[in-house]
Amino acid sequence: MVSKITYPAAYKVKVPFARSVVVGDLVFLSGCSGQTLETFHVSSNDVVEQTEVSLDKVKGALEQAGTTMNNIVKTVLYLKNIEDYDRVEAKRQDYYRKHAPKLIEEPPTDTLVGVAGLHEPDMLVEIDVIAVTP
Amino acid sequence: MEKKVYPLYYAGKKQPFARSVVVGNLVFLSGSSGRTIETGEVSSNNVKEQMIVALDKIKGALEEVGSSMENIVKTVIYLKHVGDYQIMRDTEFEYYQKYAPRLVYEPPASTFVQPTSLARPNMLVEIDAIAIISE
Repeated sequence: MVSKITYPAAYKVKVPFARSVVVGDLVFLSGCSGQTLETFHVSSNDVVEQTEVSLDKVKGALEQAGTTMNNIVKTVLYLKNIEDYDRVEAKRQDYYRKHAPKLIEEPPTDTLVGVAGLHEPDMLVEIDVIAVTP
Repeated sequence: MEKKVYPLYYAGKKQPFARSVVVGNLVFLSGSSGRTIETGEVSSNNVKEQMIVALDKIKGALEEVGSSMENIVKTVIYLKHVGDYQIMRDTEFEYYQKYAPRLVYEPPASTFVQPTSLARPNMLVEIDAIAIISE
């Protein structure tokens, strides 16, 4: 029997979803957007800045769960405006190069989805992540 | 736990996302669309043909890691036009009959979503799949 470990969301407001759930060797994260942990709102209307906030949250959540960004297995990238993809991907590759260099040579699996809306109208990007523990 | 990454090439060019990643007995794939491995472009504007290309890519990716389509556990299917739903499911069913007959009786868990857009304007369908490597 595999047990699960649930890490509560790190937002200052109470939300009914976990920051991460660890099951065996797998780590599942809640979708990470540009909403900051402090305000639960986006800090900027720029998609690249929202991507950076999102990736910082992914990194923090994975480290809390005892793993690192290098161990990401799967991402799903949700974009409000699909034409933002090139800028978001460039930011993401830049972030990986800095914080998870292993992913440049050995990238995670990824799926890109254009959506009609995210939780708040000014949210432009959200990233879903599955990782493994070391 | 170690992960094994299988790279993805479109038209000979390595992509910034993997074809598959294997962790333990689980296999994660990148979203599979109608873009062909050979050209990186969709071969047709027909949803059924794009479905077949996507399913061929899933089959090939799973076989590459020593699994098979019959070991698919979960799919998420993104379809640009919800009106294509029945064609999509019929094509999937026929494909399983031919290449993964066990899924006809024991289908994967599946979620259906209509996105506003996929990576390219001419992409009509994309399939996410998670499978196992059976012992």
